[in-house]
Amino acid sequence: MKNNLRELRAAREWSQGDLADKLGVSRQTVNAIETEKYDPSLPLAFKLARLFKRPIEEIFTDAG
Amino acid sequence: MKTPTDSESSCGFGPHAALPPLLWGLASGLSAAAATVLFVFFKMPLPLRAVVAVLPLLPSLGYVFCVVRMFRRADELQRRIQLESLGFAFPATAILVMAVDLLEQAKIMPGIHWGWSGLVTAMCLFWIAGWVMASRRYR
Repeated sequence: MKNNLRELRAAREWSQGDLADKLGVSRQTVNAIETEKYDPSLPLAFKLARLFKRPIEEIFTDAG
Repeated sequence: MKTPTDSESSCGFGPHAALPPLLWGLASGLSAAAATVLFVFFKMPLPLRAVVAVLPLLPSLGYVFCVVRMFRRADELQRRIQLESLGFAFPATAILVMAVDLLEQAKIMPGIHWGWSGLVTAMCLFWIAGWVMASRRYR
């Protein structure tokens, strides 16, 4: 799955650690999602959508 | 549902969280070694032998409690990494034990009396190896 999390985070001038704190996950998790090595669970994806005030499909797109 | 706070998420499987289980594990191993020494060098009455035999289980329970707490506080990626590392460690230990046993039966290598400590050490080493490999995958 592709995502534009890095751009969204950069636009708010948040570090990966800042975003991790807001989501209640580790910085490694944020990094793995941004580098598209890990697809988040649905609850975490919804959390991201709420945090960035965007629909999920605007943050995550199907790579296939 | 309770979400982990910053301090809790750092307690998941982060470097700071590894110390308590490490200390409990060390205490468990040392107390078990002490019990073995006591059994070898001292003759003790039955009730005392039972107490000495059971005492090392207390720090072992502390170790189990710490590991369970680490899993409960871990986020979803950390849990996946741990699942992958345990999924590696369990069969790897089984294969190692089987290989050593077969080599002993074939009289290719001398009999090794593993004991529980050798088995636990092998499991822990494979767990750490699996942890490192799985962590690298998501780095």
